[in-house]
Amino acid sequence: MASTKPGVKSKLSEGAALATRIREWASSPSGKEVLSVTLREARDEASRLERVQRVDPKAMLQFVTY
Amino acid sequence: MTSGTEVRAFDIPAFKEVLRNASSSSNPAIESKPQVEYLESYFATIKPVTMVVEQEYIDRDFLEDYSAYYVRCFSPYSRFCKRILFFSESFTESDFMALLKGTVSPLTIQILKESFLGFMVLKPLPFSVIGRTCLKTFKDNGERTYPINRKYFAHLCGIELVVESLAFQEQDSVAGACATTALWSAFHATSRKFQHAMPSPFEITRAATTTGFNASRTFPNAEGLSIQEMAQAVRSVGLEPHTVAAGDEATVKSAIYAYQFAGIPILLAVELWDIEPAEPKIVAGHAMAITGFGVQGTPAIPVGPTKMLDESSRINRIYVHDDGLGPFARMEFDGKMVQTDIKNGVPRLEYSLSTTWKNDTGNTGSIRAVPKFLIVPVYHKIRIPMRKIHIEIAQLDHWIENIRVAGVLPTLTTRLNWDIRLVTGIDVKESIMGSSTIDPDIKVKVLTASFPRFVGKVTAILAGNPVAIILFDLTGIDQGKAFLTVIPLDSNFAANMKAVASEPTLEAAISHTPAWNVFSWFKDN
Repeated sequence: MASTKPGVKSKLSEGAALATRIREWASSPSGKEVLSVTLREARDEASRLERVQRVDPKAMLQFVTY
Repeated sequence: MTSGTEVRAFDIPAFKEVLRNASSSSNPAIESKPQVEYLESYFATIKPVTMVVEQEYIDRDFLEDYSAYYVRCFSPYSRFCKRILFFSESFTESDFMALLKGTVSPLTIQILKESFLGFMVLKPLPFSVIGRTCLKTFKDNGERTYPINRKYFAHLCGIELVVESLAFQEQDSVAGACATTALWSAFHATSRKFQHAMPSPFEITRAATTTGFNASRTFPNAEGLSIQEMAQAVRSVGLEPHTVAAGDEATVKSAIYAYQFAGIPILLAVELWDIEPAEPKIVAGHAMAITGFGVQGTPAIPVGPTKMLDESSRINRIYVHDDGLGPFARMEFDGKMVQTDIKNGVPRLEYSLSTTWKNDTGNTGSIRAVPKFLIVPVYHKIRIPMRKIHIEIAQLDHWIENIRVAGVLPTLTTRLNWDIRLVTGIDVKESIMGSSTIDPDIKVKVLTASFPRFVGKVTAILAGNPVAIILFDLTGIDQGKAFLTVIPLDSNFAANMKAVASEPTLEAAISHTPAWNVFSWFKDN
């Protein structure tokens, strides 16, 4: 059986540990709360950015420069 | 035969005398115009020592305006302009003549070329004499940048001189007012960048007013242009106007950052307010061309409710071609608010920029510019506005940051910074080709890939180091997926993103948002 190099092995175990850590957090009550809040806030921010940059066609006609 | 050129030592009185003599009225009031006052301070920085005045100069822009309007005036106007060329070296008329004759002279062609500071065309009009003006900019020191500048060539007696600048002129209130003049300066940049014909001020005003919305007469154009008409002028040269409401400071800064690095000028429409009276009063609507900007050395400032760290927030000043002042006039984002209205006792406060305009009482510092609109003249294939990219990244940033704060991403020790700008596909490949830190396999993959001509390039920066480049296709359609690909620059960051994207609970939460485009790339690669 081919052996895994020590550096690669350590990377793999790091990756597995990271995945476990994220899974545990995401399924915890606090993690679920963060996900739900983030979803709402990210959408709110997108709407806010759309709103501040939206051009009012009437204002475009009325605003005259000298 | 008399000489058509005059060499003079430069000083402000001599400059003003040339200006006054160039006008058809020799009106001494020309010397105290705001533009002349502004140029005095500009010259104090670039320090011309000698000027060469060409007595008869044919300027294409003025000739167009002349043939369209001035030639039909009862009072005769000359079709010839004058042109002043400025130099930082001292030389005399006899030095210059000796150079032309090929006899011994301390002046050489090399000295002329190296000391050339730019030129100014003087129109033979009664008062608005400052025509096409291309002056060397202040030193680009990293904190101050003029990405719109291009090369201008001036031929003096068979000697080719070059200056990096962007053309400026003052309005004549006949062929055009401030909007026309701002468009004219902007087109000087876009005509070179996007290969379109360069219209004169008269042609710009005529094209802008074909919509027929303006109830007043077109020429003389003292009435100015509406935003709608300015947008029409942009269309008339074959470009498309991306018009954005300048709703907040962050919007203005992100647009400047995104487009100006690509060499695209931006037209800025503002309201000028005088805040000296107890109750601030509006002075006028005004338009100018943004031709550069400055950034402060401090880190990015958190923006908006999500506190995104956008590199564009470091912009603390802009440079504009303002026909009421001069070229590269400085305006600062200094945080001052202007009360523009009051309803039921509640004042309406709007952000503003400083200006160097003088108010009615002759004071500088009280005229504030309240931004209203930005018009970005872009090539028709730049279809997706950079604001769409900005909105997608704002959402992505919020997801990454909230997961990071939970402490589950070991690589993300600090919040990401974002650098969002428009580039070309060629720019992307050139930057990758020149990099010695990117993984060789990724490098080959990127260099051999096919990219659209215009790309939104977003660099994620962690503690000062770029960790990923996210690319968006700007040539697609607004309702489609603009996301193109990711170029990972840091394997640890990529591993963290992959771990997040591979977790089913997170995928379920994020997959219906635009942020998922980037996460899913990390999952699949």
